[in-house]
Amino acid sequence: MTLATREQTPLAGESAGDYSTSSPLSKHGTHFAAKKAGSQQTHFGALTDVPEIIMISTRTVTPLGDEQELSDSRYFVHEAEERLDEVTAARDRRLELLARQFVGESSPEDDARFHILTQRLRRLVPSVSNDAWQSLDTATSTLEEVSAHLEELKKQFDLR
Amino acid sequence: MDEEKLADDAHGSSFRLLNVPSVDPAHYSRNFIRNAVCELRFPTIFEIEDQRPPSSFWRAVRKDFPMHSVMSGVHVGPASLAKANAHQFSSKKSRWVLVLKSSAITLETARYDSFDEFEAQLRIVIEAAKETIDSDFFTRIGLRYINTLPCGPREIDGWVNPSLVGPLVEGVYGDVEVYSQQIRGTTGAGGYLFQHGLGVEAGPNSGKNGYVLDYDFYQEEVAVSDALATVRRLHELEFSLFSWSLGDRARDFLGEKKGVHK
Repeated sequence: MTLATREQTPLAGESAGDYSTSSPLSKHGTHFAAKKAGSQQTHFGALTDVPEIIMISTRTVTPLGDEQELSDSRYFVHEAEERLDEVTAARDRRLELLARQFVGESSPEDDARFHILTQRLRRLVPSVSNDAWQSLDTATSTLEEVSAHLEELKKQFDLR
Repeated sequence: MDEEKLADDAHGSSFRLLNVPSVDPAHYSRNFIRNAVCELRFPTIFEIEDQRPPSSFWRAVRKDFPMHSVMSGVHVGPASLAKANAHQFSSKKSRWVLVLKSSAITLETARYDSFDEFEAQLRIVIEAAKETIDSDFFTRIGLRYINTLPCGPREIDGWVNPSLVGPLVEGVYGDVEVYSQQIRGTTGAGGYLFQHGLGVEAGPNSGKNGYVLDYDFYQEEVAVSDALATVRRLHELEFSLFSWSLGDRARDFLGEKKGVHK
């Protein structure tokens, strides 16, 4: 008894290292230890000698506001790269499945994955971008403000 | 027979469902099961075809299925030829075999004892699948039991329900090389394929290997969270049809019931 396999249950067969880009010297000099060329240590601000600066890692110091911003932007770049990888992988797999459909070789499992990847791509790369949403949001706010202003004018001139 | 069971199709027409008396599953001292297999199909993941199995899956099953090997195969399609790898995991004495393919996981044993035991292994597999299949549903769950009754072509009387083998027992067809029937139908929980007969296996002694009762019950689009309950339901239905298929001699052979599940 031979059946198509679809119709039958078959038998088995990331160191990033320490960041050397710390806060600007002019602003946060107190965060740095300084060392004379030799080995004598002194605090930065002693202008008689040009010190060799030992930079303290941002990992060991609680960052100030602008440092945090630097850190966050680094995070976002990383996140964007990951998202791009995800989009690329989903797109490639989707194309592969599309090719199978084209030659009539796709299984219901292939079709299910195709739909999952299509939905995932729509979420990752929406046809309406965030910029477009923000523009619409701004336009809506403007319209609401104008409407409110018109209402005030109507009241003011008793135009109801 | 139970009261006739009906269901409606997509066009509103009613059709009849499998209608055998419901039987509570039982665990007998012996069984006829040559192979028991449960297949869980899921939306295709190409990465599974790599030489290394998905790490999440491997971690989850390593304790119970410590042996791993890669099965290389070639998929021949009408317009393509593609190499595909699958991963086979086995228990220590190879009693339980687990195969992970790009769109299916299969648990199989040739030494079946009880459904409780089978379910325990399946629970491990489903937990591993949750972390691997990148989906919250299975496209199809199938549970299949292949039984072989130890009787020759002229000894079938009493082993199999006469409704299945009446003409064969009466000698209407004489001594036959092949006698088989394939039934495909619907249940309240999906569909089934029942194949039974003599000489249905390939090989020179095919007709002498006994009478085959092959039950395959399945359900499509099952939430992962419902998978175990679905398998239990399929097992209940399957056991009911199995019980109906037997003759008195076969029931005697099975021996005393040891517990609730077969």
